[in-house]
Amino acid sequence: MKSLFVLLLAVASTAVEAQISMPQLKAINFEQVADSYNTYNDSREAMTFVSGFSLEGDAKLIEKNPVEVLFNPVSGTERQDCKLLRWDPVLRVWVKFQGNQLRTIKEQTTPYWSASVAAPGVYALMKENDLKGATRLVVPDGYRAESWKYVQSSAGIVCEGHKPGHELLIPLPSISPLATVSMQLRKRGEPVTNVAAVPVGKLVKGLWKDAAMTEATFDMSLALK
Amino acid sequence: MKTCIAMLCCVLLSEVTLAQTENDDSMLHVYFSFEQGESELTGDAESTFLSFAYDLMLSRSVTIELLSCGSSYSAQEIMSLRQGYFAEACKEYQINTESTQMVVVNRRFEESPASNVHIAYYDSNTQQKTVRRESTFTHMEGWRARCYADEVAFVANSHVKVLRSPEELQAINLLTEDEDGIRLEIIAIVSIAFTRDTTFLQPIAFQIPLHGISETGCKEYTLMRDDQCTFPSEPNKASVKREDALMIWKIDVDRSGTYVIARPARDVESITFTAPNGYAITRATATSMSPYMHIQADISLNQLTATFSQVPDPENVYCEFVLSDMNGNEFTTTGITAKALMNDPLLSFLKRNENTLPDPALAAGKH
Repeated sequence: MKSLFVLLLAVASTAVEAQISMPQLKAINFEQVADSYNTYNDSREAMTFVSGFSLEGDAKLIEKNPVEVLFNPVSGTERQDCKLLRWDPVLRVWVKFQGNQLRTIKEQTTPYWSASVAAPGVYALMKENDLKGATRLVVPDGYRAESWKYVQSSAGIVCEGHKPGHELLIPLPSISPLATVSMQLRKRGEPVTNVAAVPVGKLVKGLWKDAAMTEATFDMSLALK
Repeated sequence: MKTCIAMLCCVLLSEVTLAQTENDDSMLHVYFSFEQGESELTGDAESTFLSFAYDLMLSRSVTIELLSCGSSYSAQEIMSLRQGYFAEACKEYQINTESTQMVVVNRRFEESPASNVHIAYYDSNTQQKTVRRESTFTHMEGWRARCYADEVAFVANSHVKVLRSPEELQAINLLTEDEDGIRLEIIAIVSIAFTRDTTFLQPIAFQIPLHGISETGCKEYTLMRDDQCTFPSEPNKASVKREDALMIWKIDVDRSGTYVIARPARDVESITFTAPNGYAITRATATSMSPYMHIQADISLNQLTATFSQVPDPENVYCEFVLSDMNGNEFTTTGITAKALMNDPLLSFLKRNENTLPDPALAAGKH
């Protein structure tokens, strides 16, 4: 994982206030993003996760004393291609916020990317992708996917869907056989079956068996484009 | 109901000052007097009083002090009157008397001639209560609420859960028809539980995202609970807005409850069974899992008709019904599928499982 140095530079306006509710900054890694979030922007296009953090504390105090967060520059990536975004738990996408522009500063001689955060929440540094297109994975006949998650850790991408249906519409032009798919599958009239993190290669090539219920094979297929 | 007239005798700021001089900076003091006749409260005084009454319900510690003038008969009579006034105020302004402590104190020489009831309530934020600002906050579990800023801490601890799966609907024993027997398609159910049993004077406006649901033009019901969850026959129009291609359900909630978006079924599909000769069907329910439909079956003479809001799969429709014979003896079936009933007459099923009934054939057919 790309290294992340986060420095908390903001100081609370009074020592008493600071003692009562000092903002807490915690790093968030890709596994946590894959588990609880996704990497969609507000247009529901998949981005690449670079690093992230959560900021907790008194909202008024943080608003008055914004927290400056410093990131190590990502090698091979232009600063302008990355954005610091805030998680919207209602819409389940990462959204822009005021002051999210990254700028380069130097601490002594070391360069950092810097941004200012004025509200508690979950934040992530994301890199926009220019991946247009979609891939449709079809679940076996008689089944319906109630929700699903596609995790491609090599590219830092997490996609998800909640609309029940016969297809998983992944907003990527191609998918990796090493990526994993988790989903809730329901065969008509039967209890839901949780499929946890099965590699796409196994899923699509028909190597995966439904061990939980029957000996039936749930071969998934790629829909014709 | 007898009109209860309340008059604020002390202005909030001056009372805060008074409280502070008494080294009791967490207490607010408000004096009221009640007289028969028309209300003399101005709009501001009324809204301020409502704010106080509202806080009384939410404050952690509330003491109502009824001032006593002495122990004479006339003083006791006045005291009794004051208790009556206070009881009326509690009723009118929905103050929870169970969680409100009422204390009779004797402060004859401090009493304002105009004051009949002295209310003191604890709240560490008293100095900020002159204006109640509204605020919208977002919970990290994925819902929003708009309420007064001083209620955010309370509302933020609410438990909000969206129920969607057939298993969850079955767990609350949800009947998918309203009080008039109209079949409903359930779009979504949300359960909202406050941490304390309370009723807000001004409802909290919750915004709940419905991921994966696109239906609109539905009705909103407050689910009633008994042994079965049922719908009232007079729903409200559901308030739904689209935000970033997502359906957000806006619900005004003043107390804990289970709220449902549903719509009357556009098409219905029936399965009918006929009881064997000599038997009558007295009660029946039918449940379809996936899609979830749980209905009270209609009974006419010796026929049972299960009408669903969507085409059910007979293999996944489970029937429960009670048969009565001529002598009034009752026989109950559970867990038999509609498909089994079509292929295997009810009577033979009963004979296998109960070994109690004689053997006239049960005709079963699908309409």
